[in-house]
Amino acid sequence: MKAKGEKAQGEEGLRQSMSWLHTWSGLIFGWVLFAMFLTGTLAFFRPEITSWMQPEIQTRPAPAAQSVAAAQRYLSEHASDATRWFITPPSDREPLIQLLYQSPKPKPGERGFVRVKLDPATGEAVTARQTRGGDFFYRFHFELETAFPWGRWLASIAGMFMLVAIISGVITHKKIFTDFFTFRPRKGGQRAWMDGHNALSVLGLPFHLMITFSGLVLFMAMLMPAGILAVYENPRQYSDDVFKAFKIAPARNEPAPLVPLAPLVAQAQEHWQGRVGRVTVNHPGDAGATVTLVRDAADGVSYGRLAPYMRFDGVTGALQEGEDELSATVRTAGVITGLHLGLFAEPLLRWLYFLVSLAGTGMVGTGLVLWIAKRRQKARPGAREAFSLRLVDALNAGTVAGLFISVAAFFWANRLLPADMPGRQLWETRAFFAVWGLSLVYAFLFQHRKWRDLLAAAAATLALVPVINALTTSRHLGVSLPAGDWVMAGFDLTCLAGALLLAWMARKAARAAKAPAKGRPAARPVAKPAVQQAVQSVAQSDMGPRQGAYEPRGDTP
Amino acid sequence: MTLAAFCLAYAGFSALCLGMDRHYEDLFDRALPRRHRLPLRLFGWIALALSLCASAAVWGWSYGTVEWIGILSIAGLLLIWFLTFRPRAALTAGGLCALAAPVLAVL
Amino acid sequence: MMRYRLAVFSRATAAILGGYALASAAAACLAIWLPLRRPDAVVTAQMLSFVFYACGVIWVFATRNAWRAWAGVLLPSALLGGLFAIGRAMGAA
Repeated sequence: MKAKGEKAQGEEGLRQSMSWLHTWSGLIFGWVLFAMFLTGTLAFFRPEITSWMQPEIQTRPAPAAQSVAAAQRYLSEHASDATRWFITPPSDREPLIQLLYQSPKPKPGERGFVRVKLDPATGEAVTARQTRGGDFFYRFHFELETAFPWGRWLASIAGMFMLVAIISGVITHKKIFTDFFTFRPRKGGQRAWMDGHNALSVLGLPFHLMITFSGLVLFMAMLMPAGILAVYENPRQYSDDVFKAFKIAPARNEPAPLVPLAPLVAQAQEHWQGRVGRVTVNHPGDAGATVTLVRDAADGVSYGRLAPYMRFDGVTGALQEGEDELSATVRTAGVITGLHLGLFAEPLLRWLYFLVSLAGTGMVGTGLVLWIAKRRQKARPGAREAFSLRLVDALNAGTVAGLFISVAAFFWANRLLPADMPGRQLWETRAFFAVWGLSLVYAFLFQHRKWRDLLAAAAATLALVPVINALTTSRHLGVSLPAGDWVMAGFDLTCLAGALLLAWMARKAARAAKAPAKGRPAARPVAKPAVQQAVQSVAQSDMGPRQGAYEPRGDTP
Repeated sequence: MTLAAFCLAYAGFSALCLGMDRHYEDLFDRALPRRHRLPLRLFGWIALALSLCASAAVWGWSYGTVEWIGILSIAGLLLIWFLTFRPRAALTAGGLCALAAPVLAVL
Repeated sequence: MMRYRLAVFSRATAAILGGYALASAAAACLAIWLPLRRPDAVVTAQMLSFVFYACGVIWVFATRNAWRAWAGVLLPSALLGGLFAIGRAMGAA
């Protein structure tokens, strides 16, 4: 590659430099970004995944006021000395009452937050297998299972690289309009992968740009302290100003009974003509207690992190302050972050989010494979492959195919580990990472069959998830479909659909690997995840105008 | 009505696709005639705009716009997918969608 | 080869660190100068700072050589930083 300093100026120069930038900004964090995209895609169905992973819980949501009353009874009994109570009433997607409280004297080494879920019908804590459920994917998506705050910094840096990759990608894609509908899998090689990568990228461009930028905005207080410190003395003042709902007034250290919460909920619902998303009680049982009600995120696009709120005195129940209409600026930030979280989406839109996000996952995957395809195509036919190429290729297969096996392993562990086993949620997580690690090792050891084997393993393990469900619970497809239990059935069916897709890709990879035996140049196999509906396929093909023998590289492009 | 929005998106993209030399030639084995280009492209854009209106009719303008962007992405990807393997079927489907859309809109 | 690597390293540093400096300077400057209430100004400034960061990175790799790359991020950073300092002094005065 020519030294950058000597590049000629002009449009060709810009496209070339942006192409270089796109390639490297995409590759450096490519595997992290793939994992973030995949887990983010799954996180759109966070409560549904959690529901599937706790099949012993079968309950219906109850009205908010009634639920909050039940929560208050429970918390008064079990958490009367807590400094803060958080109550999330049931919703359509999450039928349980979720409680969180901060115990004032946490055990050493613990943060002192206790999570409990109540059955709205009984007001009792539910007993079900301990699991992180969908929260695992949600948290991994932005914390990468790494200690605070390093995980989210790493994820944010990856996000910034993604933003640069998107912008440079758009600049360098000179035929963005002429090639809009173009996909030529039969051309094979890097052309086919390029077309696929372009289609997934361009068609999903509004989403990809939005999700990347809004992801950074979600963490902007952490990422850009300069803006805060320019005009505030400390970040606390800033968050009190912007996130007024979360302001905490100090305790007065005189006991006083807490006002009944249910009438406050009813009052807020009446006032907003909407739903209550969360009830926060600061210093319950103290004279200085406050009760803050925040409107449900599902009520509006901008309500994700910045929703209208009402704060009441915790003893008298009098309204202290509230905000129905946030400022235009804060609403704008709210819309941007709300679009990322997607909490406002109805089921149809939620599925669209899922599918386009899957396309984004495919975009990253095809990009990674394309990097290899381009270099392989440029390489001399008989030459021994560079170690760096082998490494990238192994990382590709181990991550792109391996992560699907890991996801399946997570669900397998959920069903196969005993429900009362202590620490089982830790083992579920370990299963995920162990399988990812094993996939990477396998990919590095088995150069020539890694894609075909790992994709086949992904298809098989995912297909077996509904089977294992049937063998270990009574809420399998045979029961859930007739009952119209769309959470359980939808989960199982999505696993099957995913398995079909991966099986098809595995077949393509296998067919491509066999081609050299026929004496033809190795064909371009498919080896990447794709959108559920829009699958890119690669048929056996010539390599175009290349002459001479070509050393097959197994089943990778 | 949401189905109408999707059909309009697919039909619109099909028309825009046909209005491009490359894809027209692939399908009809002759060059795209001048007099077909403008109507095809015009129809394409109008169909996409109507798709937005259909979505907004169900969901309101702000929510509907977000939904519309999602519909466009999926419709577009589906078209590319079909176009590659069954170009005639893909574009015929486009025509059918164009016809179905007004029917679905009033249902 | 070494020269090429040095050039790439220089540009990468300019993009990553210089870009962050540019974004921070922009955030600080906008936070103080935007004619909005304080929290609104900060929120707006922070959102826009990412745009500055992205533009800075693109500039660094689009421009003709590493010197121009650095100049293109450091000079605006200094300018914005200076404007911020002025604004801060005016506010205090």
